[in-house]
Amino acid sequence: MNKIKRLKIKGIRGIREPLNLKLGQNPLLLYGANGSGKSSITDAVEWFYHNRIAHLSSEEVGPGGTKALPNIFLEPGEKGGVVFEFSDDNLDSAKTFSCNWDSPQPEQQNKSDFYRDYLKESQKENLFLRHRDLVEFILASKKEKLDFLSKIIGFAEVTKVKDTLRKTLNELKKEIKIKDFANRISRLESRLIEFLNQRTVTETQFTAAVNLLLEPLRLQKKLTRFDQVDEVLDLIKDPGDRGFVEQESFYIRLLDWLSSLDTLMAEIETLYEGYYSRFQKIAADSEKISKILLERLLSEGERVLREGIVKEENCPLCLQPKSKSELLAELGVRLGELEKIKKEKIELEEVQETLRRNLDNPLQRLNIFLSDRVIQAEEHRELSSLLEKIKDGFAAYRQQLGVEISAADKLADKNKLLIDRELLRRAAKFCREKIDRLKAEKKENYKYDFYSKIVQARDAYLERKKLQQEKKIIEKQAAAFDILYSEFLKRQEEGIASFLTIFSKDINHLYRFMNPGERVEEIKLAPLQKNDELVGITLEYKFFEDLVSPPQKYLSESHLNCLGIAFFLTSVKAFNKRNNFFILDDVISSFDGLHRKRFAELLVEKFPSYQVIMMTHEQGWFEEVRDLFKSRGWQVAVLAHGVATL
Amino acid sequence: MNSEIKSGKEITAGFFAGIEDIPGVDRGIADLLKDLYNKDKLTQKSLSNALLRLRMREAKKNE
Repeated sequence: MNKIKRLKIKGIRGIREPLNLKLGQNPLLLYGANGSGKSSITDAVEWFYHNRIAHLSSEEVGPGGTKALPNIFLEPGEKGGVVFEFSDDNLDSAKTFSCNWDSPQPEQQNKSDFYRDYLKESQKENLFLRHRDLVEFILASKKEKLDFLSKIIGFAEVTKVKDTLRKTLNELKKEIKIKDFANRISRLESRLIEFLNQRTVTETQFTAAVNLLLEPLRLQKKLTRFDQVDEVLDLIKDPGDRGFVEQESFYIRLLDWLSSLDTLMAEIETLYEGYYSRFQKIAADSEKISKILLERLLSEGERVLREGIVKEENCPLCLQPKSKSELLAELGVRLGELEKIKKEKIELEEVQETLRRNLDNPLQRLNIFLSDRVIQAEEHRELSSLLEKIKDGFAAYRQQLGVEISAADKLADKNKLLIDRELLRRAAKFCREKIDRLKAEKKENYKYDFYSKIVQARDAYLERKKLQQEKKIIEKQAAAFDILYSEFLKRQEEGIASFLTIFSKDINHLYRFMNPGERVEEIKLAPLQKNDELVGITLEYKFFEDLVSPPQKYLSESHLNCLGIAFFLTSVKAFNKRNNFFILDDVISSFDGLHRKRFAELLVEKFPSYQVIMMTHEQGWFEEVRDLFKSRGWQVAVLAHGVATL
Repeated sequence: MNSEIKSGKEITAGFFAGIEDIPGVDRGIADLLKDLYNKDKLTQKSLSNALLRLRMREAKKNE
């Protein structure tokens, strides 16, 4: 684990001249009055590792707060920066910038892969804590607590897989619904009853029903297997029957499909209404549109960097020299800020995808009907025109899905897209009349009736079988994903529960060390769930035997600070794997006298192997504890006017 | 990181390593998921496409 041998800072925030801290891997207690430059040390370290100073980030200073990095007395072009010498000298590096008030461009001296990996891993560690951030976690909302811890333990990976499984499961369920298997199978079964006068779902039932139907014809051949049906049909057909049956079959299939269209149209109209209102809500907000465009650019930039498409160590857009890891870290921060709008965009895209699937289905079916040989005949011009109009109606919806949210074009109002139901009625009437006419034409040919019924029954039986199989396969996939999703949720819960148990034990231990004999016990982080989803984490504890939450309900400011410190130190122990040092910047300011003393004892007792850099402006406390720290091998120094005297 | 605490990566890797042993999950689906995860290509789009191909293969087998 890495410790600091020397830390040198120049030209950053309140430090004008070089501040040289020769630590020699030892912990340090540093006293400095307000304005002495203590906090600039933390700012410099944050900038070194993260290329930002988060608490300075604002609309005026800009994201990352780096415009406020240079000391105000630096001359334009003058260099400032941080030099680290570590116990592992392969990690020694200087990060510098030339003073430029618009945007100080950083440069890392150490460009080795080993160092790059170190920097990347260090960015996930808890290396400093400022007084202002002390109770940030303790007072954060349940959702913020979950997000915070999830980020530290890399739960983004878990969330990503969980979302993929959940979305796939939902897609399969939607597909089952869109394909409307139950109704389609039921309609085919009704047709089989109509043609064969009995329920026919197995091959044996089918062959028996056909044999019964054909009994009056006294044929020599009986049907014993389904695949013999065409041989039997050959025995009863007349020349020309095939063409008639082909037409009749076409009308029956089309009629069947048209009868299901009304429900589908109503569903599309509802979906479009929801899509329209989400779309308009975003489109009406120009700031949101700009953010969506920016998010798209930054995400693409992140992909380009991650996939190594750009090899050079500079920004692929402005070509300014910058390391890949720094660029990725900056993009990560900026994309994090755009997370909310990204979520809105994803939700819109999900509705869009459902709508697209609902529209593609009828469009495909219409193309099949319109390319059928039967409809090409002149006598079907009217029917063809009606189907083309229905198709245009669906296509108009489909076209709307191509409207870019950022484009000047507006989405069409739902009333302008309504498909005239009269078209369905006219097409259905056309089919029914044609069927009646065909039947009338063949009235004298009694064998045709048998032939037609068996052909229609055969087609219906085969289609039903195909649909049953398709339904079975897709339902098997949906059932598997249901199990996979539940199992994954279980693993996620187990992972987080085990993490929270270990973490809670350490927090409890450290807190109780600082507050011995008090009636606050069993402090723990507990998961909160809603509809099988982990939605937050709460901090609870026993107070005089009663379980209470949140902590601010009964705890004083000093006790809340103790909890904050306990949380930070637990995080250090749990997650810092590359660095064995951390900085505590004025964290004891809001502690009362008793807690200050206990805190000093906690650091020397419980963290003897760590290189702690403890900074304070509290002279009384400094005087009180300096001997204790010294006796445990700490260096003690006073910082004044940017000079540290050991 | 404390060795008793599993990172997100370890949780997902553990899940996919034993996915074929989860009762009720078809072997074809388990293999497909594992393959996509190991190739770092587990996105909803690639998964949907792979499931569609699997359905088509199974339908062909049933013909």
